Amino acid sequence: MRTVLRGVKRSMLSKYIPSKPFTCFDGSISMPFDFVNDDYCDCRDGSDEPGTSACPNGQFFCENKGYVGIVVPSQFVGDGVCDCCDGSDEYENEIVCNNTCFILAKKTNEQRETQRLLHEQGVAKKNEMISKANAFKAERAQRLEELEEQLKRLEVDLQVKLDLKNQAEELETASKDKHEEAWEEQRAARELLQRDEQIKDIFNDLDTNQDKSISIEELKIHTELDDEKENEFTNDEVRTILGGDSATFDEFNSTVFDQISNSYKKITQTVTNDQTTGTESSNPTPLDEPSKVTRSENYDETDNEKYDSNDMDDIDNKDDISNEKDQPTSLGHTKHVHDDIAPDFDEETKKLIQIADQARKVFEDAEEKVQDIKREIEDLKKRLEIDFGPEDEFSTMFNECYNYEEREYTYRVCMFKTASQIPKGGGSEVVIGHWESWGSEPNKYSVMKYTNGVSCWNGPSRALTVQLQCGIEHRAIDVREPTKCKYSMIFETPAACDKDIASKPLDQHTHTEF
Amino acid sequence: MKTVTNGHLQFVITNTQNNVKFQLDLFTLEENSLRMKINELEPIRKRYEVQNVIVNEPKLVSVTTSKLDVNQLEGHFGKTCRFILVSNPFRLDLFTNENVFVVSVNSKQLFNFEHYRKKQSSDGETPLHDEDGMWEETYKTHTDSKPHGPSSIGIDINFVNFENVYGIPEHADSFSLKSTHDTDPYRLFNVDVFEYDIQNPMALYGSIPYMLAHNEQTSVGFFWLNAAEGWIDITNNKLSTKNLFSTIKNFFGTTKVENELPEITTHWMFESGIFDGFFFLGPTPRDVFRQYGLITGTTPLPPLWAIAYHQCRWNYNDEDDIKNVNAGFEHHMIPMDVLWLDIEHTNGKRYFTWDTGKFPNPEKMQQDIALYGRKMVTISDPHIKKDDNYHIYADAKLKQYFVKSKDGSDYEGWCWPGSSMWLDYFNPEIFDWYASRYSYQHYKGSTSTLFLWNDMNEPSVFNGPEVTFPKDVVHYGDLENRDVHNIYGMLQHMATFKGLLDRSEGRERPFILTRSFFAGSQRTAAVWTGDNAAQWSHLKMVVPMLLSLSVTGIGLVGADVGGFFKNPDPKLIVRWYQAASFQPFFREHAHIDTARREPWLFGDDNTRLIRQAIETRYTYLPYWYTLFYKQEKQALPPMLPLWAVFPHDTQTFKKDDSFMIGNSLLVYPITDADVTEVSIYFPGNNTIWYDIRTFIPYNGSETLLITVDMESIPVYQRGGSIIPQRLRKRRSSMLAINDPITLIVTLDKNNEARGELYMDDGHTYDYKKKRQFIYRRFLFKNNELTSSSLNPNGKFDTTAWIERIVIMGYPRNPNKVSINSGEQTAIPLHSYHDKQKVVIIRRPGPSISTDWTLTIS
Repeated sequence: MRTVLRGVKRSMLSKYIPSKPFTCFDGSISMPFDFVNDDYCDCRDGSDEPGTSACPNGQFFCENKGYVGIVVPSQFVGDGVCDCCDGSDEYENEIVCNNTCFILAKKTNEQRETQRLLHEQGVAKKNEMISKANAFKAERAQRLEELEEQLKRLEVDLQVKLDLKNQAEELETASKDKHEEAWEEQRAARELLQRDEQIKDIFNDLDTNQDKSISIEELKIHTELDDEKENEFTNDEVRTILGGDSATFDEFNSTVFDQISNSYKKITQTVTNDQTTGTESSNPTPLDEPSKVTRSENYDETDNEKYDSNDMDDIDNKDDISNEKDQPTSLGHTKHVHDDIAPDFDEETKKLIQIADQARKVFEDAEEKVQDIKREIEDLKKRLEIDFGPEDEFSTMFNECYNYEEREYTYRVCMFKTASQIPKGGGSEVVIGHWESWGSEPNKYSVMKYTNGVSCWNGPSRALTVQLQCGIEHRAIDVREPTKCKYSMIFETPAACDKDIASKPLDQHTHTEF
Repeated sequence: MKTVTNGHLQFVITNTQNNVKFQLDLFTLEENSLRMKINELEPIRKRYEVQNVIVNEPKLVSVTTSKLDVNQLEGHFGKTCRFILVSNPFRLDLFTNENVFVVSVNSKQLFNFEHYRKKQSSDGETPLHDEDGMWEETYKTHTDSKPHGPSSIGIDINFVNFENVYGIPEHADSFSLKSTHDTDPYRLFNVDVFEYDIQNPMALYGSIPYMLAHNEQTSVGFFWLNAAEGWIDITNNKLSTKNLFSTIKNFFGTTKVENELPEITTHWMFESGIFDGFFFLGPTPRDVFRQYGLITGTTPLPPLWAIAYHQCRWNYNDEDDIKNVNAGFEHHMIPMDVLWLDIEHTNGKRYFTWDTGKFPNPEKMQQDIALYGRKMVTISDPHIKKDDNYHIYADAKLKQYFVKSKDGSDYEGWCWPGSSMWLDYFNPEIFDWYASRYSYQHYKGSTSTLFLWNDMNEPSVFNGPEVTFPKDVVHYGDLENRDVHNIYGMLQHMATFKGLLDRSEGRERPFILTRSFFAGSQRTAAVWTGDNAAQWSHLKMVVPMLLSLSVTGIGLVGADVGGFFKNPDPKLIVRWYQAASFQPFFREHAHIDTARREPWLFGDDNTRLIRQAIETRYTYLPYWYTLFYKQEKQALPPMLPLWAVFPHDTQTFKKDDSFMIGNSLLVYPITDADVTEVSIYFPGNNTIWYDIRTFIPYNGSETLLITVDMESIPVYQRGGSIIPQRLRKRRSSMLAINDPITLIVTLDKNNEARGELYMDDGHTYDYKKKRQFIYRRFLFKNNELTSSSLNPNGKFDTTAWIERIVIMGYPRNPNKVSINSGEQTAIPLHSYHDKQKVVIIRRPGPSISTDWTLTIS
């Protein structure tokens, strides 16, 4: 009978009593105690062979004096690999396992102390981060409250301003309409006057013998009035226009003028300086040239600007639109019936317009302010929704960017936003992930997931997993690509430091039984 | 006819159209084999005869000839073999078991031999009209200069009274070869095919011009030793017995009365070389395997760890990655023996070098892995990067070691490292030089636990015609690639093997995996089926492909678990692990663009299923190892078609959904998604099959619906067999070398069973050189189980013992079990399980190496 029961934890020794039959822990079978550690597996749970490799699911306890006792799978017993620092798993093997427990304990304690110190320092920083985050959070909450209050007020105010604007615009419109009506009337009267002038002008022009009557001969020389240009301008045709052999001024006014006014041309030798008459049928070319030039210059300008910068497109487009305002709205078609310019509004209307303009501006300003506040509220709410850790310890890292330099690439992670890969030899930045979520339990907050990056050729979209570990500074210490386009980063941050580790007292002789 | 020696007859045959003369040599060989060679009698250029394939000059046996008439010569050789050579028209008929007509050569008169000729036919012969492509051929943008003109040979080989032929790998097609009536012929030409199609006669990475035929009475084989591009047409015919001349007809007269017999006509065509045909006349499947093995060699016993589980990926990125993957197996308690490094581990695909940024300390990495009894494998491809600063290139360039273009300059092509050149292994000096690159001195960073992988050795040339060498590149000895193409890859892995053998001074067994292969590759390498895909159809194709390789001599074969291209879903990968755990070479491998797929990445439940599959593999390693020993000794492949074990069961002839491991395990891998039952054929009249998990017995000669779930790997142990297992778990195979053995005895209808166990140190040649091995026979008969030595000369020290004996199919609870070994006697305890009729004998205790008898009363 063995005096030492191999592979059994002290706490379990009571289950193995040499004078009594042994029962498997699962209660399935009882057997003579000789069957315990006899290198044959009897119990389905492996409990009869704590000290041999006989049971596929057995467990072997190494005491590891001077260090920590551990349980290893039975398959480690006698396999030639030193798994226990006291070498007890290889008790009957040829290979010699040195007892490394003391060295291991020393090393482990040193490591643990280093870790503890690291966590201690880290936790101090983490606490700062937390209090900063809390302050920010309070500030933000307060700000949000303020903003919401403000928004409420401003929305009421906005309504008032909208009403005021509407009122002012009503008055403005009425006054403007009135003014325009008057101007229309005035213009109609003037047009009538102008027609009279023209009639007189043409009559006098035609009445070459000054007899206050237009004869057939006088009109006949104006061949441009002949509707059928292919043949002669006959007396009959002229007579038809005149409505008889001659026409007095009144007759001319009532019947002839309207027939000829559109075709009539002055005989060239009677050049006058008067440019205001007959313009309707003259060529409009002189007006065109300068506008064309301006336009083409403008095209060049915009083109150049487009080539020069590429990230200012929006502004450029706005410029284009404002430039357009100075351009003719129609090419070629320059027909403006009148050279008349409407007179300024009267003082009263001007005043009303000014008032309306003012009301509009006030309203628009107020509206913009409301939008700004709404946006700020939304941003604040969005940020408040992000899980920054159980103590908000990651909050201050929001949108902070950190780089990791590798042989070919710089990797950049902007916390809770995006991660990217920037080739060092030039070439464009590739987004390898957008903030998605934390990892899964139990160590949820030690893993950050950035997913849905740019898709790989022939593959999935890129993604980055960030493993967080305790460090005094925020820094990425390693980036790899274990599977193509699936990146993994190790990132040190005080936020990942653990106050439990930091405060764990150092025990030289721990005998933890796992 | 001229008798050169007894067993070697020589004839001259003449092409009556152009009077070109050919020499025909007939060799009657030991073991019911016959060789026939046909070559030009006076060629203007020596025709290539394949080297490096035949292991030993085959032994002749005497032949007794007699003239049947002026046209027919009959010869008797061996115990029961006969041939009849007909002179006009030329034809050869072969008989086994005296009367059984099995093979007829040129009975369809397709024999065609393009003799070497001068261009424009100025030799005064009746000119064969020059046709397009005879002197130059273009393919896409490539031109084959064909400097020696047409040189092909074709002949018909007819398998009389057969309905199934097998072999001629490598094709992703059914095991029983299909008629090519409506398709291209099966093609033999080593090429690197990107994302190959399945159910297709197209050529793949390797070629073995060896075909087997099997029917109820006989198995035969035909091997044409030729390394040029080959095409084989297969048609199923009916042979009218009326047309056979009387002498032959008599041979059927006694057994068959039908007027028609099935016949498979195979039409073989090679682009060049000679006719060098070996006919293996069986008559049993095991005979045919042995006969072919005598000519081309067998797979030497691999190191034990080589048949355990391998973890590979393109690529494990750096030393940390390797460390973490190893730790993953430890953490998840999944056994694993070998970690692999693909091309990215090198400095810019310069083989024999390391990317020192990622692998700064490769020796330490290997040693750290070796602590767990594990090995590593690195890749070494045949393309050599053109870079004067790369020592291998610079050396080889200086020594003129590269394959040449037709104009005599070094042939340059494109592969992984960019512009590359290829070593000319045909030159023995280069072969040896390459081998010595694997010495520890030359391969810096390699250790004794590092082994090799030769990929891309068809060779793959990205910008070559059909992604390989142009046929007019020139090898040592003025050999055109046209003549030797299909053995280039084999020469590389043979040289690698020599390198590994030499580095241990002949002590350690090398391990090499190759993608390209030829007949004879089995002697120095394991083969995998190349770049398959993560699809159910590809999983299903694994069994036919591995069977085709197995029956043509390549014993250590496997397919990439999970599929190389694309990502397998969890069900597919679990089923693939389950299937591969019962296939000879068991390696997970994946393309660089795929997601990681280490066994623990598919959720806890799938991790458990994968662990179970791998653990199951490890429990059967003593059986596998014994089978590989038998492969070395008897050329009997470990993975077998059902008909190799049940040759008379006609139902098995087309089966390639299931297979045998040795003669004792029937495996039906599940290769469909979401199945809850499978229809399994249990072969063998009067045979009982025991489910290895539930011990439920099933009767042979029946097709049964078997209910399955995700745990199921339908595997059955044949009643009448004894399988040694190691049921204890270990992290790797070499750490279990002294672990005790459990014997699983499954009784047949006569309450009998037999089995074997081979054991040695698992990695050296001491089993050969010092006879350090144990080879036992277990026999259960008359209620006695005895262990006796199959080779008393073998001695091997081991602490391994028999810890458990399980007897299935035992009718009643025994009164008493006792065991005797020499003068010692013991009464081990036992338990009996009524429902399954299973006796479990507890701790009988004899050492593996002793004789003992266990008596049940």
